[in-house]
Amino acid sequence: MLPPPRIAELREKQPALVRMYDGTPAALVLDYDDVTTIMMSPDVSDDGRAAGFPYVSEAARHNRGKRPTIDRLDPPEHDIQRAMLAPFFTVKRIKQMRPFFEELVDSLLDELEEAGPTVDLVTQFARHIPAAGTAELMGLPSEDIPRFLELSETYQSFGSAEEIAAAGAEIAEYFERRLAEPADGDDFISMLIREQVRPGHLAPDQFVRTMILILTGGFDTTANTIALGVVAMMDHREAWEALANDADDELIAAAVEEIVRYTSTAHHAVFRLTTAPVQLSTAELPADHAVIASQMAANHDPKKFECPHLLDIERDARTHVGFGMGIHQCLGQHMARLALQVTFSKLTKRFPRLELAVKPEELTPRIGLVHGLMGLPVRLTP
Amino acid sequence: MHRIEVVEGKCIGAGNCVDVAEDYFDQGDDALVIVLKEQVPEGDVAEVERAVKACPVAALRLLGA
Repeated sequence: MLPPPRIAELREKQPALVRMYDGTPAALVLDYDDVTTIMMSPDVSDDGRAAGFPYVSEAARHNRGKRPTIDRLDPPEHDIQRAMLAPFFTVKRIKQMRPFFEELVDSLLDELEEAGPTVDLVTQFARHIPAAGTAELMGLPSEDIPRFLELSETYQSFGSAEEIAAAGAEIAEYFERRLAEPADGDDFISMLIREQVRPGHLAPDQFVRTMILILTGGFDTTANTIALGVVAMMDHREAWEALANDADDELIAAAVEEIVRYTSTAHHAVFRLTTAPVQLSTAELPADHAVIASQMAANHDPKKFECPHLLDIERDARTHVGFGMGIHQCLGQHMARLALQVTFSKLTKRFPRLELAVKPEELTPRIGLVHGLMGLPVRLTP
Repeated sequence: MHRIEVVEGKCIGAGNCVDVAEDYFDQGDDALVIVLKEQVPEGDVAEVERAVKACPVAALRLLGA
């Protein structure tokens, strides 16, 4: 979760030039101010259809020929689609999900306690929380969650192009079926079909791929933040203890911002192409230049966050770029915040003496569009 | 007194201002920002400034007296 040491070296020579798998040169932007400039500049395009747009692999390009979803679109198309989705993700609407998350986390903690004293916090706990939350928000039947979880994890992996396409196709089939069915419910999917797809505001194939985007975005990231957040707090025990003793949840909101900053789970999102010269702190990028802006490096920029390698839950980390910045900022950020707040508050209080059951170096990392852990063996009550 | 100003046409309904300073901001049915109180007394300036900074598209400004 900490940026590799090479990043600190590269900070000295900003912007660093890297080559994509196909030889395309791209500027690797690391400083907080530059990363936010890239994310907010109107002279930087996110449209993945453009020639010269940077991709990490052939597999990553697999959707390129199709009509893009909001994560790879510029205004005005982007803004029209985001406006269709934003009303389902408002602060007020997400707040109403608090009882849902509290009940969910309580029951998962009960199951852990029964299964303990040694459990796997990834497979038995963390991955179920955002999956159930996303399913609840979208109105997906809970019996379909396990299959969606498998598919979503494959879809977000660095697996083969075939594997990723097959997972995407199976999720797509589900939503294509939904398109053919009556859409009279009050859930997110039915409303979107009824109000946007049927009247022709959103093309059916775009609807399907938008649903894949929301599903996979929601299922994966928060689970990994939970796992990495626990590991980070095992390394900064005072944070765990502070949350365990924080009966009125006065620290939890700031703590979650700091955990999102520190873990920077979605580290692989800001790929862009300049459309006009863009001034960065140390150089000007010419037009038509590929750019990768690292959210993780920005979140660990010592010029922005003092002693960035320390997890300090009392610092004001609210301006981190863990959820991005600019028009593409995470649509589900408030659900992620809520899920993380409920999770860390309840987990620390239920198991104040929790500890890792293996050495940190024995944990298996999960490397993909989102980074995290394959498993996290812990002892609940040592 | 300081005053909150919304830059026309920029809001994307991300809701960060509501999350940080719910006494001053809300979201409408379209998710876009609604300013609940334009005037900000000295004691609340820090909170509203945080909300302004949290906006991902710089759609908010806090103007001095």
